Amino acid sequence: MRCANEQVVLHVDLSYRKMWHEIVPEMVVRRFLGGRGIGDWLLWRDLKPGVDPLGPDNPLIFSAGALLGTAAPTAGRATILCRSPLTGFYLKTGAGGRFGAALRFAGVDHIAVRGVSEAPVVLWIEPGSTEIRDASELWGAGVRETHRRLQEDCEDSIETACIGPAGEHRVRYANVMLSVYHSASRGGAGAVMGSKGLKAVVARPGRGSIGVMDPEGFHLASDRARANLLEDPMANNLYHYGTAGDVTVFNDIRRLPSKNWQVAHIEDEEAESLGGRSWEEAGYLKRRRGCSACSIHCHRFTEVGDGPYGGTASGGPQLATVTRGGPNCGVGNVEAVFRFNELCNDLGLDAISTGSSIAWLMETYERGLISSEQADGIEPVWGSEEALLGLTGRIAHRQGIGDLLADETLAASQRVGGDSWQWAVQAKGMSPSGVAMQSALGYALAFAVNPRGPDHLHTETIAEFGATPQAREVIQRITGDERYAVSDIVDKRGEIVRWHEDIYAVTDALGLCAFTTTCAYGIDEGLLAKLFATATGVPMSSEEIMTAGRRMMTLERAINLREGLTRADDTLPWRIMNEPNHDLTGVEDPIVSRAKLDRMLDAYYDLHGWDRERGAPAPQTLRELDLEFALDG
Amino acid sequence: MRRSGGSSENRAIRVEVRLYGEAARVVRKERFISELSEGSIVRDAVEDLCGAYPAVAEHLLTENGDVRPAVNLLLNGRPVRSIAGLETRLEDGDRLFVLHAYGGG
Ligand code: SF4
Repeated sequence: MRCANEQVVLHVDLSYRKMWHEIVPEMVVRRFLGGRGIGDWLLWRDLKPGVDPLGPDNPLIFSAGALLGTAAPTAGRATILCRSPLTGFYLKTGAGGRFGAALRFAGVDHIAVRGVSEAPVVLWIEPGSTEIRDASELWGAGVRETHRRLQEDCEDSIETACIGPAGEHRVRYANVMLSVYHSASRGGAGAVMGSKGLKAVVARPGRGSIGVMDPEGFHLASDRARANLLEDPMANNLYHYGTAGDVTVFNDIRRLPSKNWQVAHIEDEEAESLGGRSWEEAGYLKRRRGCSACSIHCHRFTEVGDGPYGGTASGGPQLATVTRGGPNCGVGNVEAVFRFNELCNDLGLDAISTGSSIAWLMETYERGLISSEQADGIEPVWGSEEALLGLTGRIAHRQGIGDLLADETLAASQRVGGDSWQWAVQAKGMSPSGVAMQSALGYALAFAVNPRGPDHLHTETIAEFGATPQAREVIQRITGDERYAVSDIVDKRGEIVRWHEDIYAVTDALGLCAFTTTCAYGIDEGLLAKLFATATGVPMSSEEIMTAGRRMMTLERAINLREGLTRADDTLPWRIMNEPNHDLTGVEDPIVSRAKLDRMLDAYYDLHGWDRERGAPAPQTLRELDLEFALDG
Repeated sequence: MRRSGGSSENRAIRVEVRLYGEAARVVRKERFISELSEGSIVRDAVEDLCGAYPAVAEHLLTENGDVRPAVNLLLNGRPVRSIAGLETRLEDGDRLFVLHAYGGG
């Protein structure tokens, strides 16, 4: 049995076919905890600034959270880190499933892959052995087939992290699929994996297990967390309806960014069928599923019985997939969206960037900057299911027009020209998650400063809506007044974002699901510290653990500054900042103006102890966070 | 038609009340049109709803007549607690959303 406090890095050089192990020093574990935290530390150390994200020198790091393999609720998240080929900046992307826990059972907590293999390979890890195996026959296969064929090679159950054709073709937003249906979606980690010729990492858990240092204390803390989650209304919603449960609500209140963010709603009936609340009655929902040790079970497995999309079956879809492939492209047929989800999962594509790139093309076509001939004969009109699904396949293989879209909207608009950059709804080169930022200013600020791009899975400030008593209590704790649990005001957004950053980073580092800390609120700072301390034996207070979160955010900032990030990169899509969206009802000022964003940025940098010019941490800030090693960049 | 503020010559306003989850199950309805006099406030629309469907009252209000902490009332998408709570004035064509926890991931 291994103990939760052990942190072993497996280094793999694919160019030279060399492997070696490194034990993470206890001081580093104390400061960076595990998962994303140790991944940040490795990335800072091993990534040289300015390297080609798709070249041999970009380290690709897989990190299992510090509590994976234990019974801590939702301890199933693994993080993948590298320099993003989409943004050129820091990337961490994570997913649940069972891969991360299996990796630890197999004896490895982190993998740092560098180099490039001449022929496709699989990295096979099991207790006591690691091997680089040939994968030439798997190249070109979809995710499900890849997993199935790898499983055929082994009598025991295995877990995989693999890429589909999109990663092989270096689509800049190719994902990595964990345990077949869990997507580490954003920023193109799949393209980095593809560039290294690494088709899959296999973890064969064997009979491995992870022991904790103080079993009684650990189980008390875990039970407390589970009991809190049982009472939390958001956790309840996630179980019953999944993440896509409230599409109808967002539509009714006109907060569903649609048609490439031009409007904020679609037809009521379409929203009704797209929303997860209706899937059970309609017969689509086959199973509710959970990641390792999960007590919430937000994951779905859906199937379409008959009709043109009959036979479609996959894990999900999640809210982001539904809204970016559906309403953002004007598509209201839920069965087409299920197919879109299946394609993204199997081809290995981030559904947000895929749907957003297609929506950009639809608007570009509508405005006459691209013809049907240029789009390979496809007519990319709003609501065209044929366009949505046909383009998704072309993107994954970089076929024809798919090659243009495979680099995302900013790069595509630079090639097409004209004003098409204005409706390339992106920042840092990445399309945002489908949150109406104009009326959710905590999200707006968090998206602008997010080191990986404008996305909700790094800092999710859902509490600012104040939609549950628990959420309002969180805002009360952060700001001293629950009246700040209103999303369309500027005041206190800096404080709200910073607290969410810290706790999200800790949640990632421990390998827990963010739904336990920043959506449902079953695990607070104190419980995080207790879970970590009782599992690892490393003493930890709630203040210390939140400081560890801050340390991660600050080091991520330092990595980005080293890559040339400036304040100008901490921004939002042009459309959000310049085109008032009057479809958003009840919003006095339906843009996030430059002045509004600047006010929030100044307050946020000040809170962090970063200068206002670049958002660079002051030397004093770095010292206070024990980040002296980052002083010289 | 409910009246408010004691004015006798008020014109009618129509407010669409949308119900979700528990509230919708109780009234077996997702939409309710509240016809009120001009100058009415959110409390009038909620009382109108509870008058038509008494069973919903205990889901929405405490014994003191306050909105239960778990209930969200959004007026045209904004939480009424960020405007003037139950005293928030209504306009013709307003949409009032009555829901429990909401969000996504
Ligand atoms: S809540 Fe959902 S995403 Fe989170 S651990 Fe459970 S199943 Fe996985």
